[in-house]
Amino acid sequence: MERLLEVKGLQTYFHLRNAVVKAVDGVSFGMTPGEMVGLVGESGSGKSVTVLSVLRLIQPPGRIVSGEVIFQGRDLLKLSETEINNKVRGQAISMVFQNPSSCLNPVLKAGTQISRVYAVHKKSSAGEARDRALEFLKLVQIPDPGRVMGCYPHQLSGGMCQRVMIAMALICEPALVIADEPTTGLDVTVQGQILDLMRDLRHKTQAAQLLITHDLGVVAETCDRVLIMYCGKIVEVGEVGEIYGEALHPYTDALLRSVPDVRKDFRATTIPGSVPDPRDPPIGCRFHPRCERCMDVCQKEEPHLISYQNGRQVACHLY
Amino acid sequence: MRLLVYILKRLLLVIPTLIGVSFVCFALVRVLPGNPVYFIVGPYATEEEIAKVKVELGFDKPIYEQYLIYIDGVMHGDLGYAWHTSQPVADDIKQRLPLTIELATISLIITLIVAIPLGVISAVQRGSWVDNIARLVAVVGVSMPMFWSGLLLIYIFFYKLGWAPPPMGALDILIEAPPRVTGMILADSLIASDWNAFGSAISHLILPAITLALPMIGSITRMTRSSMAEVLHSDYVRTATAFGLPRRTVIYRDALQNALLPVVTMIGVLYGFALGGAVLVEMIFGLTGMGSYSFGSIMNLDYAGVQGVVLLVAIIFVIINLLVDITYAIIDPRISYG
Amino acid sequence: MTVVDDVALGDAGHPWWGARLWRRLEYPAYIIRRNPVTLFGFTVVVLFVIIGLAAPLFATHDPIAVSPADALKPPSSEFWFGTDQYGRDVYSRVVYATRVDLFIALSSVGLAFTIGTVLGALAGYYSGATDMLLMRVVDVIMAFPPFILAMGTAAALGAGMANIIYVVALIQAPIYVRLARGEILSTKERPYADAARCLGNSGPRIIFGHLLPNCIPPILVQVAVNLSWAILNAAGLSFIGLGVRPPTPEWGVMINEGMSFMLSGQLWLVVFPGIAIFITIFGFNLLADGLRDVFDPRLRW
Repeated sequence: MERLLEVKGLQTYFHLRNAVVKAVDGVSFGMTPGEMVGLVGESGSGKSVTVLSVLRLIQPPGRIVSGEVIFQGRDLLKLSETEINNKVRGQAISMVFQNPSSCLNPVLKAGTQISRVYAVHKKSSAGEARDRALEFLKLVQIPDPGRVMGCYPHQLSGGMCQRVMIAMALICEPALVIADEPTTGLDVTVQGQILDLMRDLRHKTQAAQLLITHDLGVVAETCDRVLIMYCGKIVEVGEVGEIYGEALHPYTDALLRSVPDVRKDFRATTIPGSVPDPRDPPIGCRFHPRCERCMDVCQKEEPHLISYQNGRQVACHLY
Repeated sequence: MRLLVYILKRLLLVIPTLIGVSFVCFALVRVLPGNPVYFIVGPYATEEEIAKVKVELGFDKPIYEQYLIYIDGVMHGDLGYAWHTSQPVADDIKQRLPLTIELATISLIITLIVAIPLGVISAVQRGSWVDNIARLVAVVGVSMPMFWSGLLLIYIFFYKLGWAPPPMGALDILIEAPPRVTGMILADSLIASDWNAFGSAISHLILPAITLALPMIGSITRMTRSSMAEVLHSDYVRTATAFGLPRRTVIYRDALQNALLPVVTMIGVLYGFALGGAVLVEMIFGLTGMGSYSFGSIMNLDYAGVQGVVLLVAIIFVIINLLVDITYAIIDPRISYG
Repeated sequence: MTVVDDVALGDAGHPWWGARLWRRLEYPAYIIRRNPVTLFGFTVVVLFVIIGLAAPLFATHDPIAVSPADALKPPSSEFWFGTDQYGRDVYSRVVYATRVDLFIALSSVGLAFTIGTVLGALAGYYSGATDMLLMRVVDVIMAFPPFILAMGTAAALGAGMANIIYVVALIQAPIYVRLARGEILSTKERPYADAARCLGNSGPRIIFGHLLPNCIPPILVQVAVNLSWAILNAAGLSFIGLGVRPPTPEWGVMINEGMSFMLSGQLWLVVFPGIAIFITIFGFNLLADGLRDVFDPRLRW
């Protein structure tokens, strides 16, 4: 199957006052059409910056320093700003953000905000766009979609706002939908609803989904494959079942063990140490100060992402 | 519905404020040290006149009764008697108020026309030379005292360049004023289709309006710039960009609409500033508005005049702020559609 | 959270004095050094304070000595800014006026800041009836356009330096009341306030020892801005005759006196005092901008 998205060696740095933060330092991964991939990592691991780089939404002082982002055969990093704005964003690739209430324009009605995405990209009439917006509101299972069209964002709950944003993301039938922590900040019950919705939509639309989260449970429930990120680099890639069954990278292993299991003992195992300062990451493998199985070579050389068995990849000197 | 409730609540709040304002105006003359009678009759009155006025104005009555008499007078349009113009203060004010309102309104319009685009461009092109010049101009505008910049403008444009007319009034001496309809010279000359007067009025009013507008332009440019800059970094602007909406739409529909909301609330404050500044500007340019009237009253120790102006200007200011608040409530859906 | 918050929170006692103070000053000092604009503003302000304090050292003549023979002379090497209609040296008058205007500005802002902040903080912390009453009083004061209220009050009180200071303080005080009250309202429910309460601290001690020090940044910016307003208002009031009494030199008064000579070509009477006002206010505004940048974490990169 032809690759939908191929990211190669992406590097996005932030040039601060007296330091350079290497938020994304050499990230490579790929996606096939229709698949659902999870991107997991702690806060500050570079997950959001990675996807923002894909859509070229990085603002100064951040800059995409090098790499390739090949989407449907074209390198997005080489397109002009106008091209990527008019042809890719909202149309071919859509993004859904966290904190949906603050992502909607407070002075425009929900219906207007959804329909204008369609009207702009497909050059349709206002009426057509409105009808389609209504259709998609139904698709995202909003009760009483007619009323919601005329509501302002502050009149809608967090969950409703998220559904509105999802409707906006899907209205032009993109090939890829990126969801950056779509459920963080919402009530737990609502979280479940949104995730169900996304799973459901996966069957209804043909879009591939890239789901960013720090919640391993969410990934387990919804994704086919998962990418684990640590400190600006991808450390492990594989199918959900395989990774959760047996993690290769020590970090993944530690992450999985840190989830408290009600059935066993209720204690949460923490990973010793703390996330390194992105301005000054450790030399060699970035995880080595916290790794139980650290070896000599880990302190000197950075491990590269290598293929292991049947599609799995890992970046660790153990392999 | 919610809007109506908001308007009513706001109207209700105005009442204690107005009462408080009347207290202050009353106190300004009656309660302060010094013989208040002199304030009313002036320093040239005789003993008899003073005694007569004392009884007439009820100075022998207790303070709260005096206050009630004062309020009663105000409600009936009696703001006292300005001995230096030999007219009731209310008449003086009626004659002079329109010009001040006209001046303040013109300068406000100039301010908004110049400052808002400047602030927007400044924010959108942050760091560019336009931005830096705009910021410099803004700080300079805010830092120049009006009475000084007015004088300098007169010096440059009248004395040196001869472009502006002499700073004596709103019309050329040789031109007759149009029949008084609103009292505002530009409006009246338009109504009477008197283009001579209209042109003359414009040439006389333009320098004072610019003088009054300069600090306001500085202030609004800065405010628009920071409001716009903040909005441009907001989540919803980032989201709109992420959905591929054209940059123009994002700036003018999403960002600007939101960024201008705080600026609307400033309009009331600006008007107050303009009314206050009119005192200085009218005096320098020889305009016969309320500002120069209050100045004349001060110079002549005619406190009835000053008190009348202060009261009226405060009432106007309160009303304008009320209108601004209501307008804001209408245009911000978070308030009208809560 | 700003640098100030970080340091203050780390010390449940007094975040003001000792080594912490120097550490806290290091970052603002860096910002002032780094941004040329802020540095310029800071320099200007410091310069004027020095000139004001040491006026006799800078002046070349006696500012109030009348000398009819020297009347209305243009700027020369003897009279750097020329002379006014009484033969007084304009330069020396401008220098001494620096002292007058700065004194008025500092006193009125100091007065407004102290009384306003204390009242606002108390009202915000204790709420209730006194809070409501205070807010209504503030509403009434703010119902007047500032200059108009200043004018009316000054007219009633009479001219003179002390009165000007009270009047200018009066029109600024409401700003501090609202600012302090707002800050206290938003911080009094924070965990560290609760902690202080649990430790048995009394109300006033909590307000002034813990809450207010963390609210200093916006209040400080406001002070810098108000210093420039105060000078503008004081000069404006003096210009219309309600301010400092002659022969005390004051920038506004000097412009008023020089006004009638401007159109006969003697511009120096008006220009130099005006430039003095302009540069001083310009400096304060730049400084205020710089301070605002210091305390806004977003602009730190």
